[in-house]
Amino acid sequence: MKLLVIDDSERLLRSLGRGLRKMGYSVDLVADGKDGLDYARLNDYDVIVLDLMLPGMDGLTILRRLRGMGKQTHILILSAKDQVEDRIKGLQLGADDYMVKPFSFDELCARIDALIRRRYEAKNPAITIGSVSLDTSAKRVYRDGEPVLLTPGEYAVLETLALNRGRVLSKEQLLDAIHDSDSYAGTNVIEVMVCNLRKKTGGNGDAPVVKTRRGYGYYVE
Amino acid sequence: MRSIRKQLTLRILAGTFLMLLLAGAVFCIVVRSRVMAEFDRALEAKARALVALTSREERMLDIDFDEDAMPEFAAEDDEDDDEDGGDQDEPDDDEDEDAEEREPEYFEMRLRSGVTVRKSPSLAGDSLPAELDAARGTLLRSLRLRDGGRGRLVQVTFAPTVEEPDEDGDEDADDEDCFELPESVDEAGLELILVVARSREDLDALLGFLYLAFALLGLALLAGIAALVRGAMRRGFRPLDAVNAQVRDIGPESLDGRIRLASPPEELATIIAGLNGLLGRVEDGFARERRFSSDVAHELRTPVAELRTACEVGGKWPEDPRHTRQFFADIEDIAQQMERVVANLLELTRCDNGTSTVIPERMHLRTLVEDCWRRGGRDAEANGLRLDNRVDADAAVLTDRGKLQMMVQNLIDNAVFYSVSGSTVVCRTERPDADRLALALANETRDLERQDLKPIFDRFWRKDVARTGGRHSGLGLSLVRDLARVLGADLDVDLEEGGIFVVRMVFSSGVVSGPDNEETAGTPPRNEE
Repeated sequence: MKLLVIDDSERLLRSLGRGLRKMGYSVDLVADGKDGLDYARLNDYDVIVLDLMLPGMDGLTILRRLRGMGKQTHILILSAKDQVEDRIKGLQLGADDYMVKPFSFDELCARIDALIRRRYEAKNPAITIGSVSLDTSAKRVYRDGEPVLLTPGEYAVLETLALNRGRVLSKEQLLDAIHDSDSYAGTNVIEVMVCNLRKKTGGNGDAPVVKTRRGYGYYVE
Repeated sequence: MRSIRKQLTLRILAGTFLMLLLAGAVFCIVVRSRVMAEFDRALEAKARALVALTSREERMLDIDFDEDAMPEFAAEDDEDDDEDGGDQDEPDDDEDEDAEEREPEYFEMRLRSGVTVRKSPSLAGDSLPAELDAARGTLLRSLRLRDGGRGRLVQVTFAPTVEEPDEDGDEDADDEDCFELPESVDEAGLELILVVARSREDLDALLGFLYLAFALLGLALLAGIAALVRGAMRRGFRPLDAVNAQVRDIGPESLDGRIRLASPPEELATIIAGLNGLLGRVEDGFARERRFSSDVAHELRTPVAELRTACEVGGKWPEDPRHTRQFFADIEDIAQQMERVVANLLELTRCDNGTSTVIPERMHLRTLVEDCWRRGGRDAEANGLRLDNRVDADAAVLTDRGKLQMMVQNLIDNAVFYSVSGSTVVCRTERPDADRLALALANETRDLERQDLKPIFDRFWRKDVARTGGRHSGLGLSLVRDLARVLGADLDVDLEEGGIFVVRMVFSSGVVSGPDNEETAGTPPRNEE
């Protein structure tokens, strides 16, 4: 799942980036309003976490511009402004959620997950694919009820495929969904991750959870 | 609670009542005196008529008084007889009524010796008082009549006209009308005293009626005026009621509202203008307060958010030593930032409360500027900034060391942070006059505009609304201004051509120059930390 965090506090960006990546998200961090708008315009993010008071361009202008150009990306405003009118204004301009600083990191993750589920129209955080089940809120995977240990990258690939169930995703699409925009990783990383996933979630002669459509990419049924 | 409307109504009514009372009194006095004068004139005319009827022929006085011609002098019994004998003579009804309504009148004519010459039948056995030694002429006064009623009296002292005896010796006069003078009376200098009296019951009744009528008229007038005043007050105070209603509707959420009246009265227009001015100031104050609260919230919420997120993320994944080092570095940074904000806020509060104490000592400005620049040296070096210290070597002020140091440090930090990279920060002393000394700091800025000079001393004001970066919270210049006030220095800012921002601290007192004297020998310059 790919996130964009736009906040002018470098210390907060550092902590959030580290935590969200550990949670399995692919995160782009931007400290300037104008750069943030460019990132949001040029990339396809699942959720954008947006501060309001930003240098270069304020958060509400970014929000207005994105909605004006037809971008439907879910946006969560994360601001120190706690007045009701600030929240109302943000939500009226097209934000999907509003959180006031200081905030709980776990709550932020839960809200991001909720927005991601809304994007993929999945209300249940649990997704079952044959004998394998995913708990998208706890970022855990089980096979026949037994936990399966996956790396954040492997989990991200599986969750992306599960949320796009039935759709074939190319290696580039998967790479884009799980890696930061400034990452230089190649598509072979995806091949390695899919191979590992099949090993960890397969067994007993069952058909692999992640299937290949030769020449197109991967999918789950 | 006092009501202007009630007070004005009461005062107007009381004033009107007093005016009416005064006017009534004057009116009554004038009317009374005019009526009395008329009454007296009529009485005197009657007396003159009787005088005209009196003549002397040698020693005989002839008073040609005819009771029928002057029925008012008739005896009361005669009048009754007239009434009783109405069937026989059948007098006119009008005359009958006149006789009933007519008050009896009296006269008595005397000699100087008091001997009565003639008196009216109405007096019967009584007599009228007379001043027998009065000079020739007329006297008027009041008296009690024989029936106990009030009356009016006129006394005429006169010499009767002398008639020559008829040659044919005919006796025209009735014996009843003639009076022979006693032997003791000298007919040559004969003077008679005629007293005519009349009841004034009718006059008093008329005056009483007039007084009553005027009193009733006055009361009716007062009631009418009260109603008019009440109506006028209601109309007059209507704009005030409208202002009151508008003021009542203004609350913390509608401070942008202003009092508006179509064509307000002159007196109220001034008050409305004053109130609108006050509302403007209150609105500004509220806006400043809201901005301050919001800024405080932001200044504290953001580092707290950083702290909390760093702790939560660090606690979840503590295994990475590289991140742990960064975590502690961030925590220290955040703590220092919060410490700066809190320290500045506390200092500002002390300035506001007037609890900030000043311990004066000699401060050398050149050394102070050098020390403060050295402290901010790392950032200045990073920005490629240079200090041009043109402060006079002997420029010194007697002031509080800590506060002046804080002021200069804040100004230099500000200049270092906001100056264009590679530019020069100039510090110099200026002497506006012999008694004053100014320390000026000038630095080149990029984005500052002239309109920014007004809010530049507001707490938490920053040109960058995003308030990015934790090192400057926007309290520095506010603190400089408040400390300047505590130290008795004037602070002045200007934006010169080329974006040169200049701050001047002007010291009007405590300015010293030259080597340390005895007064300051105990406090040698020590500007080092």
